[in-house]
Amino acid sequence: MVHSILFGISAAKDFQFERVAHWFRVYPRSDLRERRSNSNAVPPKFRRGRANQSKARLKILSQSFNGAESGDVIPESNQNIGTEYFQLLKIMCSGISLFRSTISRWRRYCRKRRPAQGVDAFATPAIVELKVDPVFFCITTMTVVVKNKEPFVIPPAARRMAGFKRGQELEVKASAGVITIVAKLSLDEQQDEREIRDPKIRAVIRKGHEEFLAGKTRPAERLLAERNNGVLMRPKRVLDPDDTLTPAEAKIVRRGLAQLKRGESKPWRDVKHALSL
Amino acid sequence: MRYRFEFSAESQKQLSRFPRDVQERLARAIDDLESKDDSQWSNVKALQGTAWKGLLRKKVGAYRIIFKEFASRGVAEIAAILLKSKDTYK
Repeated sequence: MVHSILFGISAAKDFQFERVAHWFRVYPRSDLRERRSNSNAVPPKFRRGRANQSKARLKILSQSFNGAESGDVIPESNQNIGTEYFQLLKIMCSGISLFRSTISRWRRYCRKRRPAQGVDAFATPAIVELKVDPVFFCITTMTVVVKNKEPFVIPPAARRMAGFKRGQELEVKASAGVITIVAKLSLDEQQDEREIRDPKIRAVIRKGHEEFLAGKTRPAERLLAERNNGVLMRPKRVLDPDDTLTPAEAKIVRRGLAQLKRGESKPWRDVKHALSL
Repeated sequence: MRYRFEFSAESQKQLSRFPRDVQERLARAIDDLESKDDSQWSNVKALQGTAWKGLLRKKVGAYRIIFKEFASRGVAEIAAILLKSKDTYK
């Protein structure tokens, strides 16, 4: 039986797909237990090597921007893997249980760490299907006994596999017999999720990216200048109350102006003298 | 340019009704305006609104001196002296 899990990863170069295929090794559970007993900080499923045990296969379902066609099967590779791909693998593995934020995390990683390597973090992600044999798949089931005195504890291994970090906000949903814990999405991640799920937004992004690649761009100054030609709504001007007159004050000022117009004015020196100032 | 200040009957009446300390304070402000060039006046701004074009106001604490300058005659005429009321900021 083959289990399918959908992944979203950024539109990266072809060789990265190959390397992802290579990296997505699936180890037998016995091997996983053996490695865990060595108390390594890195989970064994993220380790490199063991290409002959791989049961993973990547298949591109939707067209990416790298020329990969829908339905292409990415061949596995035995190339040596650099440390930078370890991060990608971690992101993707944690995405097994956290699909919603996988693309966001990958994009953030691209923006921070890999700006010079030609990875377009803003491109619409390709949808990649990972087929794994559930017998060898390294997500393990853990049993926790609920006690009266102590709060319910999620095993550290499960937390590590889910990719939960310290200080991260989680959403806990409970129904009869089921408690679901999902990482709370930030505003960026919510936006990314909308992009993934909403076909209209995906179409707009795809069209925009195609136009960008076709060179249909214009400077930001030109765009702003066009917006200033009647389209842009200007904010209402706020008046300083000191610079305006209320109707009662206006009445007094009008009376004074009328007197001045009639020539009924006195020099300041005379007024000072009259008031003995 | 320096200006000579003149009072309307209305503004003189208003000034006479204010407390003594306020009168002295306003007198100092007007003396200051008279002694200085108009480019050096402080707290003087034009009133907003088409009806009040050409009118200036000088802020003296809670009071405003409303006046108009006539450059050709070298005279500035004070139309009114207003105290900020509750309605001013409505």
